[in-house]
Amino acid sequence: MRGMLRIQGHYLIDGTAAAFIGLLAVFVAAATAAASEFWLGSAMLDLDRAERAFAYRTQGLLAIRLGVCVLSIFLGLHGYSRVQRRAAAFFVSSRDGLFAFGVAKGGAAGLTLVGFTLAVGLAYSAVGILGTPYFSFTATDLRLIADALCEGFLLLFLQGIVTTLWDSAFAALPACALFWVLEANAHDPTVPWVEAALTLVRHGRIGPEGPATYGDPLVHVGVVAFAYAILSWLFARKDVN
Amino acid sequence: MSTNISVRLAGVTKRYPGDCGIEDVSLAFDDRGLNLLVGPNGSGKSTILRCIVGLVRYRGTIEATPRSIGYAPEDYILPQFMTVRDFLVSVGRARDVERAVLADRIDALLDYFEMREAEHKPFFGLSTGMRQKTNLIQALLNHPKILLFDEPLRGLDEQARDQACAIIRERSKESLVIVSTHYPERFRSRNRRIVRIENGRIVDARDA
Repeated sequence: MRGMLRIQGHYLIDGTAAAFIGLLAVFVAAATAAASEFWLGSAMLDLDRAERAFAYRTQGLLAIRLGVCVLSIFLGLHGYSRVQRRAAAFFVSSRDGLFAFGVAKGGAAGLTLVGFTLAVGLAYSAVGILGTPYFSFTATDLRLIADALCEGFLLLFLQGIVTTLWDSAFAALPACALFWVLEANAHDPTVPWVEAALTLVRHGRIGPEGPATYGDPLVHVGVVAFAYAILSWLFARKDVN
Repeated sequence: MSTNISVRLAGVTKRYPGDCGIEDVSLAFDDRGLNLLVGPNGSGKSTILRCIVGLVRYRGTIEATPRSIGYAPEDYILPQFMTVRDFLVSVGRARDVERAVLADRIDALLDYFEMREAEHKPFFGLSTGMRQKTNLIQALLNHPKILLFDEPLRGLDEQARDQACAIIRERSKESLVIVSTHYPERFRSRNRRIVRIENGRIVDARDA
């Protein structure tokens, strides 16, 4: 399985993907640096510490969530395209083998997402700790980054399902819409449909009242696992042309 | 001497949207030897090979015995940043070939196709011909009992075409080999069989 994950990773990260991931990482790092206002110097940043720390957390974690979710949609779109499916021809000699190949593909995409999240999380911590006097990495930061990763996993597998069924550039629309709708409405979880969506999708954020994540984490993990299983099953049923 | 190698298709139909694919194909390939699938573009040659490997879903039944298949597809994708050798090792390991045996086989095949200079180069810098040679090598790595080649001469120069034809002929002495090709005259062999396909149906199958 380790060998299969490795080869899937090589297939997933081609020239296009490497450029996209690099640009996205630079964007998140730049947005985090801008949120810290480190260029003002320690003396200036030492004033209004609480407000500045709150603003840094809000904007920095939003950049991370945006980066992770955009990458997951990209990986679901790119990794499950018709052309990428052709890689199976070298490694599969029966339809049963396609399922294992699909599982490994999802695993490699998931590991790529974890790697990206760790990298941008480290950049967020480094900028905050080294560039400002007001920031220290807390359990809340860790939880909100993990929430972004969980949301990213779901978007990745949902995007993979849509791409497997409908291989088109427009296939990204449903996942983008889900991400945008949650971003725009999650501040008011009392609205019934928002509450229902947050029951299924992990979404952590920092609101005016502080950090908030809704729903049961076990349910969220279950939904991600279910989406992964459906995607692997669908992959095995689809033709390799 | 007869061996227990066979590929049998019974009433196999595969349709693509807007394309005929193959229609009710029944065909038996028994024992070692070289079998050539010939026919015009879009006649269904590649579809038959994909059905045997199990890459597409179809109606009907296909029995491939033993289930030891090497397949060189016509349309394929190679990992851009992986080297030729790394890729071949990964394919061989995925097919459970022991490391020591695998290294020897890769060396022998790279030497045969004169690819030693390219073995540590990533695919993004390689020519179409080098990629096609890698495609052929990966199919041969685990010494499968059933070998399927889809347009194996595509993208190769004259010398490489001769090398490819020679090794395919050689392997047909110990394996059941099925080749989809537009150049049947290149594959001369004593135990050669030509299957002609048109519009997704078998129109002729004879020893030649």
